[in-house]
Amino acid sequence: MKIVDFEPNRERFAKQYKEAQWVSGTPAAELLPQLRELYDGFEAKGVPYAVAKAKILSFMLDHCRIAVNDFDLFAVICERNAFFEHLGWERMGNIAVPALGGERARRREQAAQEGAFTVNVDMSHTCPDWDAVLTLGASGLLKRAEEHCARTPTPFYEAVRITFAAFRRFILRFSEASRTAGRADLAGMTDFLADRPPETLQQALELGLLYREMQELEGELVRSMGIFDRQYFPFYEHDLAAGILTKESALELLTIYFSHCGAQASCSANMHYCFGGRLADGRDGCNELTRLAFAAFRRLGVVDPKFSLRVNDDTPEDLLGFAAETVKEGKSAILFINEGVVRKAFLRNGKDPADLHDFVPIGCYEPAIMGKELCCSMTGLINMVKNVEKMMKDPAFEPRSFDEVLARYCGMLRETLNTMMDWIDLMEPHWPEVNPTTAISGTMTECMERGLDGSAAGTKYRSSGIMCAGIGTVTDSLAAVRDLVFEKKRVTFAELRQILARNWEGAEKLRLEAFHRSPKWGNGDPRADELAQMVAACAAETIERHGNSKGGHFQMGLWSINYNLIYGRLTGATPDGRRAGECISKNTCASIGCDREGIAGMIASAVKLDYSHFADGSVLDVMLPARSAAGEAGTAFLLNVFQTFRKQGGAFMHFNILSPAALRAAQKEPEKYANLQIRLCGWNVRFIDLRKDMQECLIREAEWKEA
Amino acid sequence: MERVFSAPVADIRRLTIHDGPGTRDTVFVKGCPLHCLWCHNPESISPRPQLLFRSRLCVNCGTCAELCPHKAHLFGGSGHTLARENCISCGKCAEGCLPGALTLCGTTLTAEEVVQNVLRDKAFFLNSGGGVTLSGGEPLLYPDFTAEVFRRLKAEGIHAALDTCGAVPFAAFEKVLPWTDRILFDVKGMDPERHRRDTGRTNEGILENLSRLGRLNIPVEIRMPIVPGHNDDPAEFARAGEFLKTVAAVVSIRLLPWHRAEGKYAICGIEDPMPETEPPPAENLEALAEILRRSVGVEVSCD
Repeated sequence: MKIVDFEPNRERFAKQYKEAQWVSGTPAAELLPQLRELYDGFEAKGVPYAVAKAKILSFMLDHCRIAVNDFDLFAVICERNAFFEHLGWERMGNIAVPALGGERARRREQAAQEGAFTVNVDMSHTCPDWDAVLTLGASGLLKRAEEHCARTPTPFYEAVRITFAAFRRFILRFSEASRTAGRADLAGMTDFLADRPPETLQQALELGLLYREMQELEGELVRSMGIFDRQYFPFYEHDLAAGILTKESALELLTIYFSHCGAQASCSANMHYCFGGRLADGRDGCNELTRLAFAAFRRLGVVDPKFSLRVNDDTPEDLLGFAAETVKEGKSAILFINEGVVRKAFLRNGKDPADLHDFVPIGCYEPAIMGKELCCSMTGLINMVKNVEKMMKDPAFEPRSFDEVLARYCGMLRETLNTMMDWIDLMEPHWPEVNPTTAISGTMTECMERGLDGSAAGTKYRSSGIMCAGIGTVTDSLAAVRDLVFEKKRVTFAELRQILARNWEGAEKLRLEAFHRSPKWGNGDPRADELAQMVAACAAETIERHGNSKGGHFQMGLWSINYNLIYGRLTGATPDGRRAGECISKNTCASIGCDREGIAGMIASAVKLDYSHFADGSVLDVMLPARSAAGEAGTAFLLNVFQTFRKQGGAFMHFNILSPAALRAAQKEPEKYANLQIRLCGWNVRFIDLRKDMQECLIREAEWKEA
Repeated sequence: MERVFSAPVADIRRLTIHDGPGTRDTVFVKGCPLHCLWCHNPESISPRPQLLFRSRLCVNCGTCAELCPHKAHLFGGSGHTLARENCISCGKCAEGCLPGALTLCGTTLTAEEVVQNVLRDKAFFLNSGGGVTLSGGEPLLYPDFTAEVFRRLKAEGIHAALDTCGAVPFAAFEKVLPWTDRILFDVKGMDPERHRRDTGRTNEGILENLSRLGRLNIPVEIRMPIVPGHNDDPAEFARAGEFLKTVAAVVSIRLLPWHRAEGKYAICGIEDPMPETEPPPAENLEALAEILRRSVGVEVSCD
């Protein structure tokens, strides 16, 4: 095949989405009112929403603008719109929220405003069955839908049929546009893909990108691109054998392929690719394609895509070393996963051992079985610190012992979680009306066999996730109450309540003592760590016990995205010495300035948690100053940090290797630091794109680590 | 009854990567027979406890002034000043200093306490082929303590490295060698008189110790601080190369370019003896490394 050299065209590839030369289609601004008109018409006629949605999607795919560039190896650029995303939120407000009833709906709104918790229908933590997409192709998926439809003409099958028929036409539009752009090769490839499953690596990659465009236009973000080295390896092998590709030309192809993620980054969420991990026969799945993909990633050095590596005892050392070297260069979008602990979490949840090798992390770190699960990892978000604030504000609470404090806190936490899950159970049954997931369901065997959309519990596994934020701040707060009120007796509980109500005003010495001397999560100190274990276990048991409305169950996540700031701003002063409005601890990390024993202490604490409890994911993000990771010794050190964490039962880890000086410089001269990356929970972002308060929070953390 | 050995410890740094193979904990004892002008750990020169004052952490709460029996802490228009002439390093102020601006450096720890401390990181050592390094200061000012720490580490299956300036009687080495896996040996210059001016002692005994160690079976890593205008003369390096070639146990050489001990002298209340020095240029370092590579024939790295 003809391969374009990437390097001389790097800039053109980077800009090809921003500066797309449209070949055909209607601009989004004109298209959107037409889509709305269609929608209103279908609503007026009472057309089942899944069918109406599929028909509107068809119109969108037939008319959105598309572009083909003369230098690209893929024909996939289309003009995005958020029609279905916005419609989903609108229908959530019109259908799912009212299902709560007036009083609960009001309290839901209030909880979100005061930063206590958020409950929703999570419509967007998804991964299609990539194996089905690549083995059946567009035409195979359509044929399967047509056959079902002929036998059982239900609205679901009808919607799937309409969707994949439109997908096929969408592919053919790219063929026509390629011809117009003088790219007969791309036209030939898309013609082929309209009627047959892919045979070559380029075709397979093209189909994956096209499917993603289609699904995201349909209103559900693709939060995992699947297990890359496993899915695409047969195509790579085929091409090598057929003389279509060499190792070198494959690297060019992959570099150009992954450059699409970075070029599109401003339009969409990070594209998440999983690598490695055990195969069905127990062997490790890393192969030559894994290495080529990582080489392409390192060469690109852009903020998107993000790569996750499933690590086990047999993961090749050279690959781990390469990944660590890449991270050290500031290319922070690599997540290291202990797949052993994820398997344990899956087994605890009753998943079939035969399915476990199909594990992919969705979105940030949310484990799911590809093709069999929509993990809905963000149906609920809780600020666990808010219950500390509420407990400390309650004038009727006069504990005589710390045990009473702990019991009260855990009781409040359980009550909040149960309320959240009860409400989600009222809202989630309306998901099929809010935003049916027709395209994804059309790829999934179980959905097709049952004739049920994924949103209507058609999938094999049907989880709902609760993200729990602030474990560090909660732990430190409880530890400080025990230390200052019940052990050292510096202050009574009632006095501490008043001090916190005043945001520590007039009690600076006590605040300093709370902050600097009371036990803290993140130092391997059992006085704090045992509290973290208790709080995490209390939350996990409460969440796991609760069945969801889909016939599945809830599962706990221990991460925070950027809610350490969002919830922090809305949370009053806490007994750990934190002032009102300051950020709370993020993910499973210590509060800023509290991991006084460095990474050794942080890991000593972190491995005391049972990560098989957190089936909705967790992460320890490790920030290290550049000097700690310098040279070959530094690379070995990064791997040692992860491997020690993994071997002691830790789950997910990512790294930020940076210096506060560089962050400050980037604030002053952003144009010079456009490529400075930060791994921010699941997002990998450019530092200069962050809000000022998040930048300051990261600088404060980096300064602490360097000191 | 088992004898208890102890030493003043300035710091135990967890998970270091430049003091021997793998990931290590480095124990810095306090007290050193040399007084190098370029010392990077000035808090570890004196064996006695010392009050360290990190003024940037001070919140001017005045607790230290209340606790100090000797009026060493003064608060005035310019904030908190430490009158070191009044300080007897009793540490009472440090106990009460909540933000950690005042700390007492030089806690006396037994060998057992040190080993218990570093054992927390055993998993990191075993995963990486790392271990524990005794540094300082000079660990061999406390040979029984060092030997006891190493003996206990060996019993735990942990790699033990000795970082030494070599300016001790060989008898001190003999006490620790049975439990020593690796020696990091400082060579600070070849010219005896220059060495005396820069470090307070000539290098003859040091080089003699190194020669004797060289005949044993313990790998020796040579560490050479490179201080512009003091020990970076290529001719002197050629002489160092000639000498090191004769030390059979040398497995590698590491050049440590001088860099400013940011704020460390100020924290200790000691005047920086080399305030004007600039770090050596990278190309000079590489040239010096090349001299050694050619003559000694072992791996030579520059930090």
